[in-house]
Amino acid sequence: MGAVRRLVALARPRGVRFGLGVVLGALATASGVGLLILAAWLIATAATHPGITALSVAVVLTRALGVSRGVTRYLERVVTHDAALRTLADARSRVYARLAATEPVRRFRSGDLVTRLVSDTDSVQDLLVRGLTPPLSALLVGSGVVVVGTALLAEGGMLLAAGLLLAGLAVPLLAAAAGRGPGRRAAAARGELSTALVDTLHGAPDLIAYGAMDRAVARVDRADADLTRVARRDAGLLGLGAGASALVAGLTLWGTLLLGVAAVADGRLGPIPLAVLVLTALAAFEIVAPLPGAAARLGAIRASATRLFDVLDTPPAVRPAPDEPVPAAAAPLRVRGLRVRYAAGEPWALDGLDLDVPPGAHVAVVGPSGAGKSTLASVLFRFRDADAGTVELGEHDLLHRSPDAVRAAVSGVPQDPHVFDSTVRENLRLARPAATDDELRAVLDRVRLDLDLDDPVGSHGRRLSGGMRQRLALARALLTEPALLVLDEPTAHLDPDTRDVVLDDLLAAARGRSTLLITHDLAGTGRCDTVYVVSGGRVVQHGTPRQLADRHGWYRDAAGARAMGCCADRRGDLSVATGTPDQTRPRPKLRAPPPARARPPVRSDQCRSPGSTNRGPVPSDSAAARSPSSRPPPAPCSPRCSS
Amino acid sequence: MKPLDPRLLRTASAVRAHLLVAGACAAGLTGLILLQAWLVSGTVARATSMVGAAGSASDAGAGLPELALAIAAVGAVAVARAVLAYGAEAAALRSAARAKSQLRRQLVAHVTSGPPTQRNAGELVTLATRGLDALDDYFARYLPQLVLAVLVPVAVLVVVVRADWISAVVIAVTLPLIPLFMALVGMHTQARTNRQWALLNRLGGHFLDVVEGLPTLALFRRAKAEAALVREVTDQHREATMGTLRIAFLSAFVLEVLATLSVAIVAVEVGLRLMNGGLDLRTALLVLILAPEAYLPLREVGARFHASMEGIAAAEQVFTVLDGPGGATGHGAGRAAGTGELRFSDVAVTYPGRDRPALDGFDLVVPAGETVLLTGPSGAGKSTLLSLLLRFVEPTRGRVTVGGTDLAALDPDAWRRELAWVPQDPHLFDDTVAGNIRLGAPDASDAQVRQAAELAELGEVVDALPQGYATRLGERGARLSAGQRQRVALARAFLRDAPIVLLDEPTAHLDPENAAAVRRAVARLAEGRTALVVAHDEGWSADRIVRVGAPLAAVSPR
Repeated sequence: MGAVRRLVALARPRGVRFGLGVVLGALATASGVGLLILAAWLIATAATHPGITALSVAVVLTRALGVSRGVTRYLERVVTHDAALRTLADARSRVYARLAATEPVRRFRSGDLVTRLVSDTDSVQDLLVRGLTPPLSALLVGSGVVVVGTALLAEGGMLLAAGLLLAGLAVPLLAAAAGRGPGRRAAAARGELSTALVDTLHGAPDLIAYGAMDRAVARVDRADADLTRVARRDAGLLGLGAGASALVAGLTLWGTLLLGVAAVADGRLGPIPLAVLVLTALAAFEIVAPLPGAAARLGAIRASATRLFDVLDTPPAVRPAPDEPVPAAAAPLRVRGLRVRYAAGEPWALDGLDLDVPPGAHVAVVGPSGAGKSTLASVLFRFRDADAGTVELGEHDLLHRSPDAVRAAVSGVPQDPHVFDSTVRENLRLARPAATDDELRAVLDRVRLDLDLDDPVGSHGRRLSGGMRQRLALARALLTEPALLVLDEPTAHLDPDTRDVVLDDLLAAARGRSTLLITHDLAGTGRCDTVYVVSGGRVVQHGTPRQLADRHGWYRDAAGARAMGCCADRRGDLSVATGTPDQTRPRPKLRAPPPARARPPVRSDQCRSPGSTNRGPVPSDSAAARSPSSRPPPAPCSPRCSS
Repeated sequence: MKPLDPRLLRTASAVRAHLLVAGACAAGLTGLILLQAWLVSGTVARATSMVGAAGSASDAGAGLPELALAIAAVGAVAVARAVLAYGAEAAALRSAARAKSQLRRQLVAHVTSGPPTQRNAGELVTLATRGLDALDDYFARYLPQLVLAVLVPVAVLVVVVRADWISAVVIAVTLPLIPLFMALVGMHTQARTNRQWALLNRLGGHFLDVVEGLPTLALFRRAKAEAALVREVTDQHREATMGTLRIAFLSAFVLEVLATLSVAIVAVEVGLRLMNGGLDLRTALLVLILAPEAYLPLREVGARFHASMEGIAAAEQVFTVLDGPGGATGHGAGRAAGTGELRFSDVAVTYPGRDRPALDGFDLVVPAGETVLLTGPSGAGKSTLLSLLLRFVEPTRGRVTVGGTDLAALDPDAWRRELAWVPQDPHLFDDTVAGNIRLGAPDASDAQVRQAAELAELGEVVDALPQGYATRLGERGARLSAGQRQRVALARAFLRDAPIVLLDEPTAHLDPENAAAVRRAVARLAEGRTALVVAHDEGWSADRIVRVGAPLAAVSPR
């Protein structure tokens, strides 16, 4: 219940509006019930044939109630929805602010949690509009009706109160409780069905190729039969609420008649009050009609609220640190003994990592997946704290500076960089709001991205190809002019055709800037000054690509497995160029970088470092030895450098 | 959107049965409503008359004993109504479950017949589960109410017209106004509402965009600056939503005002006639009790219509899928041993809805037992070649033959038994490791499964799992890495032991160690079989390398 109470507390700043909504809602319900009560009085009185003047007030009032019900109901809806939407806006801002403070957000990115967060805040609205104001209005009107009933006949009023409490409180709560079991059973059966369906539909090609489709469909049918059986068996439980509500209303009417007629026989009740009392009992159950729906929703609202407060209660991922600025001037990066783990008791993601990036050098960190490479990136970006060790840029201790201070000096391309649904210009200006269009065009040129600044990029940058998105993300990072550029798996989702071209261009654009390239793929590492091989959270090998290629170890094995692939890819680059993977995407107005463009700066850069004269790592492993002789030898890979 | 889709009646027999039950229940309920009104008005009128018009002591003599029967009947009606309401709801939920099951099975049968298509599987799963569940509201709450909304007003009118024709006229005139006005308001607001929803979606999307982009915003030190923007956008969102709602509430407003006002008019009119002696109390009370009952089901239908919209939309989606092509290929009956040479003669494939052919004028002969590496740029049609052999697509021109027999003349299922396929991204099922490997050979022994796994370099991986071959892999094989999944697919192929193996980029997106393991297994699998390997790179042992898309280049033999 705590989560629901906290959810209500979120609405407190809008208390006046909700109060108004409750009053309006009560007026609307009261108009409906009051109309019948008044009409009963009118008719019963008319039966005594009084003068028209005795009825004239009632006649006018009856008509007024006929209109006021619709009007107040309309106003109530507008007011409560408005108040709920305002609260929703508050909740969203708070969720956003909290997420912005907890930062890496990765914790909440598993699966569809972000999307669910959006719909979970909607549960705020649901609770306030359907779960909060109707019961309060019902309480107001219900009390009023009980007072009227008691005034007419004490025991009649008590009966009415009991009936309303049963129908408005006990039955909805019991029905919601009775529905919990079926809900759980149905969810379990539905989970089975959904798994079977996912397997059948997603795995259709595999199933058909292996002649197993009939078995898969039979499994779906079995799961479907189970779900249907569960639903049919539990239908009885779910119908109980409807039956019980009808029973309470009917029996209250019956009891009122019984008491009323007895009271009339005793002379304690006049004929007119009798008619009024009976019709009150008949009309009163309209008051509690919306409550079963509200109670049935409560479980779902509670679940949503719990998820919402999980986010709001998450402590920041980074401890507070002084906001002392870190200058973005070129300086050596020194990492010593870095240890990070995600929770106490879990294995170390980084276990004493040492690493250096001299000013202006390009350093690659490679290693198998799970080696801790991305953890290193999050530490450098200050997305998370380290448990031990130091990270120094020049003489500045990055681990004890505020995230924003560090990010002024360290920037780059995080894993899955987000491209916002806006224009190219807006996406770039994120990094430097004051940038002129000329500066933006210059940086686009540097990453060899031929885009118009006004081009819309689409949701998640879908109007761009994967390579173009990475180039845009790098352009953005370059605009911040960082002292250290970190590229975290910049080619992760790229087509093999484009992977190497994109990486070439990224590294070329970052020329002269300290760059840390983090990758599981060896593409491009041959062009770095130093390569660190990380495994199990430690550096297991480091040196120039040339040295590593000559030594036993992961790098040489991986290079061997890549075998001639690297060179084959590269030849592919020259002939196939970058256009191909983009063909299927709608790209109005947007153009891929022209493949034929001359790339002199790229070439001279490639030949700069000693390790880069032989661009592909030397393949010497058995796979290469086995491979057919049809391929050209590795050495010819270098003609591009020889100019 | 129609209140009752005739296709629903045609497609699911349970819906027809459901409507009959709902109709019977509604008829019973209508009768009970009338009976209750008649009993209550009678009892009150008689009890009143025993007091006497002038309020003197009981001279008419109708005391509690005389009314006992009528009052007991009211109690009986209450119980009957409760039982009927309970039964109707339970029955409705029961038949809803059956109707959903029928629709779901038809949907599944339809989409799984024929070769796999490019359908969005995720959407279909959502449609078949959560989408169809929304039909519960439609079947159990909306449809019965719809029947009531037809029966009750008519029955009330019939009774009221006999008791007091003037009231009947008032009700008869206002009742049809309700649907009429709702339609008018609806038509007027529809266009505007649609425009508003587009805006709403855009604003809602912005929030999601900003939340998803938080790491990026944080990196550029913009996260806090965006907070103000989020506030601004949610405020815009609120204003736009309110604009839509203000109009959407109008139809409910019209309905409420019309219904309540006409009850008020009836009450006043009856009261005045009663005063003038033109009516007796009993009739007046009967009319007063019945008048709101005529409008109530209409209001309920309106309210429930919106709740069941989602279900109706889901049903329409199901029908759209069912009306779509089932995709059954031309079924030949012939059978062939897959040991002959494979021959593509001038084959072209153009996918529906595409202008450019995916493959055009392709020729290739693969003698039995040869390993051919297919390379070429993305989109050159390499995967289409494998799809042709798998009979997932049919050539738009030319023919594919095996041992001289046209593939089109063969029974697809029988032909596929000659194939083992390792796709780029194999699907692993929520089953045990062994169950996944047995995909193409359900009766294989444990020893055979183990041997296939060893050949596929999967043995050590499985031994490290908590329950070995009995370990469940979770949805989509979530327990395994991409490379391990690929090796499970290879194990399937080994166990299938088919003469022809097709491999589609088996090492794409794999890290170097996994790629090396997969390469070793593939070399083993291709041994002694006809093998077509699609790969981007050329680091494979093959008898021939064929470049697809470029001018055909058959390169030197091993």
